[in-house]
Amino acid sequence: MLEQKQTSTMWPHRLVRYTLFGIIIMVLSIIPWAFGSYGTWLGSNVLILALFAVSFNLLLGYSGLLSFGQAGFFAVGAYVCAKVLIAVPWLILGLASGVLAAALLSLVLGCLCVRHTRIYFSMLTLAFGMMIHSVIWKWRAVTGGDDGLVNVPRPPLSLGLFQLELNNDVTYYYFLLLCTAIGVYLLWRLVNSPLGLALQGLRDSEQRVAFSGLSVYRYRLVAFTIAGSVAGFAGTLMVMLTKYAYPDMAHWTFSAEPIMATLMGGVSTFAGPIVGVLILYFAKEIIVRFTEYWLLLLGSTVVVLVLGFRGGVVMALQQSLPFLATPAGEGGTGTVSEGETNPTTGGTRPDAEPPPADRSSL
Amino acid sequence: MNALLSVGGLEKDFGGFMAVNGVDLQIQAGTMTSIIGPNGAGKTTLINLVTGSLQPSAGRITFLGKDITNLPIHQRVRMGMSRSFQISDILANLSVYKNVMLPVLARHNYTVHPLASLDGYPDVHSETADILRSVGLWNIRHYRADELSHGDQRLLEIGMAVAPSPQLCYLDEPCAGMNPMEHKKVLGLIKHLAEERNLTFVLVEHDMDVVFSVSDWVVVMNKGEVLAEGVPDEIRGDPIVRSVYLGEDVR
Amino acid sequence: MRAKGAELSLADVINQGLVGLSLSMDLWLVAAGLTIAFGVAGVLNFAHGSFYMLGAYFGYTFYQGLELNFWLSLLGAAICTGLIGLILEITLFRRIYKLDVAYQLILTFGFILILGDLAKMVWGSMFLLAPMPEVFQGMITVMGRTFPYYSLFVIGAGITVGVLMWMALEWGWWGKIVRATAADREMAESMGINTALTFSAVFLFAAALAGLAGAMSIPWRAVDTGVGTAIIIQAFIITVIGGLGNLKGAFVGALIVGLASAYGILFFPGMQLFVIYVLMAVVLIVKPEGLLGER
Repeated sequence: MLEQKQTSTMWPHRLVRYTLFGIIIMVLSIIPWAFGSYGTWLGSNVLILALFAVSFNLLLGYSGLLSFGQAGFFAVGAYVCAKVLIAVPWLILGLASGVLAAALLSLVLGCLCVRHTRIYFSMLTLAFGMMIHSVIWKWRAVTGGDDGLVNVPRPPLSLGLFQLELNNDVTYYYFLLLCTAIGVYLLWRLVNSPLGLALQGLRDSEQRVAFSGLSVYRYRLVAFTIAGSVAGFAGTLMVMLTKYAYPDMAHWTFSAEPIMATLMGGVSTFAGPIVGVLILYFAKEIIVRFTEYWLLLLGSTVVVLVLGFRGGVVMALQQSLPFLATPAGEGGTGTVSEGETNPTTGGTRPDAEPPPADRSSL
Repeated sequence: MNALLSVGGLEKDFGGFMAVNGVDLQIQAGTMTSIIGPNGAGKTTLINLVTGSLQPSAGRITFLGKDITNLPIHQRVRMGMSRSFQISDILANLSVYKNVMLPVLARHNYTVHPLASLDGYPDVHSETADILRSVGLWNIRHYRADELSHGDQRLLEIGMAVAPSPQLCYLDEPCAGMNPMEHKKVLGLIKHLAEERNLTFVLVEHDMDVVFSVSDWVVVMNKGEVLAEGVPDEIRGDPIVRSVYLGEDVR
Repeated sequence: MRAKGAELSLADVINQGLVGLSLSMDLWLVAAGLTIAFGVAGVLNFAHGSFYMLGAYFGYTFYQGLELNFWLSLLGAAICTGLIGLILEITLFRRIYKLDVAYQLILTFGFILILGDLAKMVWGSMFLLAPMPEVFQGMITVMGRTFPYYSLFVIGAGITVGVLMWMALEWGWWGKIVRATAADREMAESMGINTALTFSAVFLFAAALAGLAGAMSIPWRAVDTGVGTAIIIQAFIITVIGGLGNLKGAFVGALIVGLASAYGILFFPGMQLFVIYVLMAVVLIVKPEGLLGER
């Protein structure tokens, strides 16, 4: 039944959305022609980071979980893929191994992290992310330590009789475009599915989800594992782009990128993280030419956004053009309230969980 | 007849303070039970214990013949329990429709589907529509839940409590914040839902008049214990109960 | 350290235990501030480690740059860092108390970036090294193994702070105010307590404590902008192990982490960090709310 999908808009959402999506793909396709090798390089990075950021927002904007350690899974995907490709240069094998490794690790770490309150969860993800970084750094024999892994091959894509050489950066860019589009599409299907609805429930009230008959622990774990797997996938794509795996792929400063991007683009929409990555990258490109204190500006932007403008860019656009992308919550009348708010609601909401500790036991 | 829910020797100790101090209770299927008592009597704590939000310090809870004392919340819901909250606990960023759809999807075990569109599932949509119409929220089903008026949010609470198709449904002060007219209307709705869906309700209530007019059974609590229980007329005339409420606002 | 392949003696174990204790006390000062700020104000300050870093930089400036007496340098560093914490609380933290946890974390995370770059602006990116103050030069000998006086000082300082804090909270009138505010802000307000002032004071104290720890670290560790994050992660591990908002838990957690680091270096050289993570994972599995935490 389509009834509940229609809100107070003039145009049917679906048509607009597909048209926009098509336009975006077309624009992205001409990047290598329009902007040369530098544009291709930047575009490749943006595509991978966009996928990474959307997977991150599956946790924050859709499930209410703020993870500071997604870079850990990104790096695991990258390193495992690299090791496999160096040994056996089969593209699909490398990709699959990277994703599988990231999936397994996020499942295991997820079991440890998701049973906790949100604060503990965030702290733990930071800690475990850096644990992965430490392991990569110290385990020279396997990971190359701070030298990393070099000369990672970029094997051709072979499907039966069809073979596509990917060594050309422009060809690889189109491969990335395809992979990112597929990844983003699958995530889009996910958030609009029954499972996606359950995750959104988690974001709004875990108690209510439990009383709907669903295990909060299991659904959080599912979200964490999916996000970790997609992060790992992004990692495999990155390592084949740069042909180099290095420990800082797992560092918290890299985990911060999807967080910042999502904040800038808007936590409560699906497209927010993608827009945010675009903004982040373009801003960074311009700003680093003028000053070395890029992090200061980034941090200040974050502070300003959190204090003043939590909706992000996409929310602002939506308010002026209501027929744009479906928000992570409901479009409805598109109101955003003033005052202290929760990542997506319009009002103060005491956290549904009890306080994490008996504070009187200070 | 075996009781739907049976509670024996239930206790909850909060660092020395006994919020629930040895409660024995039975809820019979097909009845409307009201739990009343002054503030701090332990009514909500009792509901929290029975539904699984809190673990008891002692005692047993039996539901449909099974010992559920240590069962987590979602499994009790699967067995056939549900509840609404005194302070509305709705999914603020989702539409009214989706709020009710989630428990229905969960009951059918569709929430494990990761790629299917929500537009499918005709069985879920007809159930959801049915519930929304019953509670009178069909016309505003597209609004975000946090855009609703207080009264409508309370109705949504009831809708979500009914959505998992429970056998036993706890409503914690369902009419909190409503004027007497709305209060009456909502209780009529609850009575109607009980008959229509063959539901057993347990209400935590303050308004005595209303309690007496709709309940089959009344349980009076005070200081964590069951003071008295019986049919409304018995309770109305009970001198101990009256003395507890002396000085309380008897509306 | 001992020669590779040599037998481990009791003396080695004890010596390493002392090393561990000094690490613990360094961590304790940081974790104490973090956990008390959370316990009272409910805000988890991701940038708390940056106070440690700032304290180190201030300490260096006073001690080496201005050539002040070491004790004055410590005091100065603590005061300066405390003031920065106070300013942050008044201008920014106050606005986020009502915000969802996720936004609080992101905001304080942004501070790490800001403070890090600000430090880089003022002090540059070079590592800074300070010499050991004369009064602490030298070692004592325990069972044939040497142990620096300075580390003893660190241990002493940590324990002293711990005892003073405990006493203040248990018996001091100030402690009562803090505990009341921590337990229930509204209730405290209605009893006439100026909770806003309490929050500010607690933040000032927490920042000062972290700054003190940072300043104290300069004789035995080179300072750079990265020390803040390294220490905040350990502080997080400590709070997870000990329970958030729980001072005793923070002390116990700090002991565990410090000793585990030290013994990790001894028994699993190269993987000592991993040892701590494994410990944390074990605690998480066995007692998720922390060893002294309560559900």
